Amino acid sequence: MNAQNAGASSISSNTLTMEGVGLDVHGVMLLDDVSMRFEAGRMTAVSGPSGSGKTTLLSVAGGLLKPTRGTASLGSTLTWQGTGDPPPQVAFVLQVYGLVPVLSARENVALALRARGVSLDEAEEHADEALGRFDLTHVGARQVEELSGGQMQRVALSRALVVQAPVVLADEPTSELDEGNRDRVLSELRREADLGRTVVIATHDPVIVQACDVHHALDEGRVTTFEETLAATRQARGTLP
Amino acid sequence: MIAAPVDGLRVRRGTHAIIFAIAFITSTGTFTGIGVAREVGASVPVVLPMVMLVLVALLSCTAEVNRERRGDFALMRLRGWSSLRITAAVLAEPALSLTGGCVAGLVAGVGMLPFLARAWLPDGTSASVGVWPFAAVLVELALVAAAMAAQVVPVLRRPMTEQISATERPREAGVVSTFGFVLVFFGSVVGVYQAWADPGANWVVHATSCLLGLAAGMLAPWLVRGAGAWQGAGRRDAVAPHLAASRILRSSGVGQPLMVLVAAATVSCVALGGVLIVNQWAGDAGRIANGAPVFMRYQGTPQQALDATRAADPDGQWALAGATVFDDDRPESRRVYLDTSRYEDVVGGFLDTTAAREGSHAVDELRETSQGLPERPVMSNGRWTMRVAVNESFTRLAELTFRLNYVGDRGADVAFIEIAVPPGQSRTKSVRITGCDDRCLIRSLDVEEGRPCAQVTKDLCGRPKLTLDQVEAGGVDLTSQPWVLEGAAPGAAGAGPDATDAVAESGTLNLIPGRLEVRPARRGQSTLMPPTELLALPVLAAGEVDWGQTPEVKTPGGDHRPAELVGTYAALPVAGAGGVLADLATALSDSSPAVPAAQALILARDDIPADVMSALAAAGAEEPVMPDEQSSNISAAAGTAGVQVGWVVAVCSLMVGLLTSLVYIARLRRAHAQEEAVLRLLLVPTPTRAAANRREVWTLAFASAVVTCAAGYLAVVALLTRAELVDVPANQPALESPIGSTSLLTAIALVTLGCTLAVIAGGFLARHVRHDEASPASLREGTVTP
Repeated sequence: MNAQNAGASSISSNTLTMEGVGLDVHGVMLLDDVSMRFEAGRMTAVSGPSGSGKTTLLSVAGGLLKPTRGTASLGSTLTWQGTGDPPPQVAFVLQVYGLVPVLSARENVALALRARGVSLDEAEEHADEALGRFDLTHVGARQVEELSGGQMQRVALSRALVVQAPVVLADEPTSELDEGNRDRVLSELRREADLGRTVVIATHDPVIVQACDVHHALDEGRVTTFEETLAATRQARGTLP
Repeated sequence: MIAAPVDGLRVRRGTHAIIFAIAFITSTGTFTGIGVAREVGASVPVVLPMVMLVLVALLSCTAEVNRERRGDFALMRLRGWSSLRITAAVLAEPALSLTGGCVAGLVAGVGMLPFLARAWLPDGTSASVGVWPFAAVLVELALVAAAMAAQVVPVLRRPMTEQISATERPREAGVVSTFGFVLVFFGSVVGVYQAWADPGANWVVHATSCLLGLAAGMLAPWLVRGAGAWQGAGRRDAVAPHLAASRILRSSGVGQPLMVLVAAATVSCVALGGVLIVNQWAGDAGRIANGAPVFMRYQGTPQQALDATRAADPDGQWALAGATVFDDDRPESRRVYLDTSRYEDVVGGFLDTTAAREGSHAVDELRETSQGLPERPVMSNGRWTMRVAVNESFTRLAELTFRLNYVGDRGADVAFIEIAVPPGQSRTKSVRITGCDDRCLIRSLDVEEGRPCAQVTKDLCGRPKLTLDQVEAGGVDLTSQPWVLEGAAPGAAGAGPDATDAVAESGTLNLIPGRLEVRPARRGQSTLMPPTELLALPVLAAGEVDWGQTPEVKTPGGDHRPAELVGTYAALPVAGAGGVLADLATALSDSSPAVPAAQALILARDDIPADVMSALAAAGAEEPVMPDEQSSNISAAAGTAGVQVGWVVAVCSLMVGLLTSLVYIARLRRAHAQEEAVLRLLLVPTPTRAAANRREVWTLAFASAVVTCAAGYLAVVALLTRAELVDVPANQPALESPIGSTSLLTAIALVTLGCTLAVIAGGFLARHVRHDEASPASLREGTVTP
């Protein structure tokens, strides 16, 4: 799978860097002088109250929005490509899922691969595997609009992870999930990080924050806190599962 | 109280603008349609399908408004509003746009009615604004309001969880909508049956056209899905076809915009087809009545018209003479005479598109038959000499009267010879023949013996056997001419020299070379006539001609002549669907001077040279009459003005269908923008996305074309061919609606093309979103997809 190999080939270039990023929309400042570094192989949490700019930050980091000031870059390449489309190295998990309603769960996941040139059979095989990671194999054939909110969220996660993009930006990926599924999601994201990928999670769930290696807190578009979390410590000690 | 609905109008201005427009168009259409129809006494239900269609269309629009307001309704219920208050809130918003549209439509209708009346009504008729059109619009408004009120029920009863959910999920069809589907299908079947069982019930035809369209529209989503499955079959390996097929097969609202559009198209097909058929019929009837591209009355006799055309156009390329004698509306009383020798050059294929096509082609056969008639001896001025011998066995003096009937310069004329001949002797007498300066044709020779036999003695009273061995009139030896006895059975009256059988009723006649042997009939008189083949006037007939016992036709001079029927056809030039047509020259050759009722005429080609035209005008031809003028007269007589309301119905219905589709397009556009953003987020290439869009639109267009065409065709076959669109005047060609007629196929093709183009345009409009509208960044927050 070329896309996957390409994505994992250069861990050093997977670091997502934001330097002095500011974003004004219609005179309203959504981000102000945000500088962050999302390291490859680590899970980073971005937290903050509603409206603090978490989703906007992920959008700028992933190349969906052009920053008014500063830069967001992946390795040495700017993520903003001039079109509003994300670079191929970035996979998103949207807060609103962003699934294609007329496709089944499996087709939604497979579509992400087929868009990257993977053959149908291979894409469906990997889609089934990805859905299996979130215990969704049994709903693979169902049209997504028939699924519950939690199931749709996990389909969105499967779709983001199946492409094995170097960078995964997940916006509130566990907001609709029960505790068990939340743990499963955290475990799978951790697996991605352990594979050398950059995982960034926007959340206001303290449990998620605690499970991440790094935590940035935002308020009114400004970074208010940066901390290495307990998870990072435990990971350093080798005690994190 | 009013602020909330006004705010709603502002927020949902797109949908409400469409509701306003539909209400406006419908009110205008209903008002003007009924206004014109009532003025000409036409069938008011002609606007019924439009009203039914609008009912469905407005309900679709208001349902869309309710769909957009789903969250509002949930809030109202959560706040504990009473059902009455929620109902008022639900209805107030669409009621404003609906009422506004109706009022504006009425104003426009009042303004437009005089213009439409001027265009469609016969000259001198004006349409007055009466109560009926207003009442119709009010009834229509009330129906829509009642149906809208019924839509409140699902708003109040829908599960709260669904109403407040951010994700709108597809719902199974409820009992009411399922019942509606069944009702529409059942109604259309019953309507078609009724239309065939009772062809005169026009309101059934009109109502069923809408039901049939709605039924077809309800089938449209299935057809669309079938087409989607077909185009996507075996193409899962390619992203674009797979995406397109998935959208078509799985979108809950796919084909929904087609329902009203197909219904509108079906109504339009029937309405437009009716108008085109009637107009074509009037046009054809006008061409038939005109007989040729140019028709001119002639101030003079038919003979003078014949002479004038032959003088002005010696080669017979441009004009031909004719005459009409229309005594009454019975086909046998409507006689047309045309100079058939010029017919092919002057008229040619002018009537080939009309019901008189075959009749027109038969004129050539009529010409051949007329020209092939045996030559009749021509008598001139001079003397008529008779030598008569009476048989010896006759017991008394034979008191004989001979009457020679002929047609000459003065018309029908007669010469007498009275002669008394003793038995066994012969006598000769001679009289002068006059009135044959030009020529005369002998019609008959009456032989009368003075004393008729009484019934009781008929077997006893003998009849003399007369031998006429010298009968010469105006240079013609009548003993050498073929004769038959009038009233004798063919071949039984001694028509040949060996015929000796006595037929007492009509007398006997032996034709022996050099003499005639005649025994007068019991009644005292026998009439010797030239054989029918010499006297007969070949004719073409149209309609149910009552020939009586023996076919007979009158000449332009009113003389009776045996008719030789060449053929019977649906319609004939100038005569129309009832009448007889004969060759003018043949008819004039043995005719008294034309009766006053005979109207001489000249038919001409439309490219007739000016000098020929001038010569004809100088000779007495009146102003040219074109087929259009004849059509107008026939249209006025048939009351086709009421049918023109079909234009209003067709145009308004199509506009309503298109506007209703726009409501869906707005929603589809929003959904498509989101899906496009998702696909861009997944890095689906632009050409793939565009190809998927194209495939989807073309599939919809294909399905739309098929279902529109099929529904239109079915409606026309099942309904229009059974409708009585106009009161066809006497002797005009029947108004038929053959499904193969150009008018109907044109109507169906035009409507299908229009709808297909609308679907294509609407499809691409719904899928054409600006780059920034479909930006993945737009998915950050907001409506949950799906």
